[in-house]
Amino acid sequence: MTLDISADADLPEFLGGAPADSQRVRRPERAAGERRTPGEPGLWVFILGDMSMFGAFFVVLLWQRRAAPAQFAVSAQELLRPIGLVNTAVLLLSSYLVVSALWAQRSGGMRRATLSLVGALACGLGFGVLKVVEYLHVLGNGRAAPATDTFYTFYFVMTGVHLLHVLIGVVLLVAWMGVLRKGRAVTRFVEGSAVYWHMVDLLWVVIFTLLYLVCAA
Amino acid sequence: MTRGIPVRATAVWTLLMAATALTWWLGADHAADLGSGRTWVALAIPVAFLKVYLIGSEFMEVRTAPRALRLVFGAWAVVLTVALTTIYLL
Repeated sequence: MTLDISADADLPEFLGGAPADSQRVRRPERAAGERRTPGEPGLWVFILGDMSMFGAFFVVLLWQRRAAPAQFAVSAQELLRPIGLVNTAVLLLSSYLVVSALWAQRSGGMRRATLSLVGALACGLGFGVLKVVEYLHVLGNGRAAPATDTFYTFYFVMTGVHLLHVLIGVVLLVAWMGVLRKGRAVTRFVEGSAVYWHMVDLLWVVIFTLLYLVCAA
Repeated sequence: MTRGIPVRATAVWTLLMAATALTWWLGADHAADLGSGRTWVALAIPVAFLKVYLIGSEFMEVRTAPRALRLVFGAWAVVLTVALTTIYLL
C-alpha cells in the first residue's frame, strides 16, 4: 500500500500538508482601522500564559532578593555581564530580522525574506552558544551552587526555560524557511512563528535587566 | 526583489538599541555617581518594560490587533512595571 501524504490536508503546511486557503493571510494593505490578530488567535492564549508564568518568576525573584540583597549582588556579579549585553543586542537584531523577513515575504521578496531568516537563525544559535559559554564560566569558577544559592537557582531556572524557548523558536524559524522554499504566501503559521520569536526576545529583555543589572546593583 | 527597508521597524529597533545602551550605562556603576544609585537602578525596570511594550506593539503587531489583545498585553506590561519597581524600592 502506498501512502500519499504529499497533499494531506490534515497536516500543517510546514509538514507538507496542502496550503489551506483559509490559512492564507491577507496582504498588509488592509482598510485603515481594520483590526486583526497576528497568527492564530489560540496561539495568543499560549503566548500570554507563558508571559504570565515568567511574570510570576520576575516578581518572586525580586521578592526573594529583598531577604538578602547583598548576597544576590555578590552572586550576580559573578555573571559575565558583557555576554548578557551582547546577547540582548543579538536577540534584538534577530527580532528586527524576523520583522524584515515577514515584511519582505508579504511584498513577495522571497529571497530577501530567506536571507533575513538565515540572519535571525544565526543570531538565535549565537545566543545559545554564548549562553553555554556563560554556563561553563559560572559552573567552572566553583562559586555558583544552584542548589544552595537562591540567586543561581533563579538564574538557571529562568535562563534554562528561556533557552528552551529559543530552541523552539529556532525550530519554528527553520519550518518557516520551508514555507518560503515552496514560494508560498504568508500564512498564519508564519505570522505565529514571528510572534513567538518576538516573545523570546521580549522575555530576555526583562531577564537581562533583572538578573544582570538590578540584582547586581 | 523587494527594495528599501521597513522604515518604522528600523526606527523602533534603533530606539530599542539606544534604550539597551542607556540601561547598561545606568547599571554599570554609573548609577552610584548620579546621586541616589538605587533610584537610577530602579529606573532600569520601566525602561525595560518600555522596550517590551515596543517589541509587542510594533514587532508582534499588537498595535493593530483587536482591542482585547491590546488591553491584556498593555496590562501585563503595566502591572509588572509597577509591581517590580515597587518591590525593588520597598
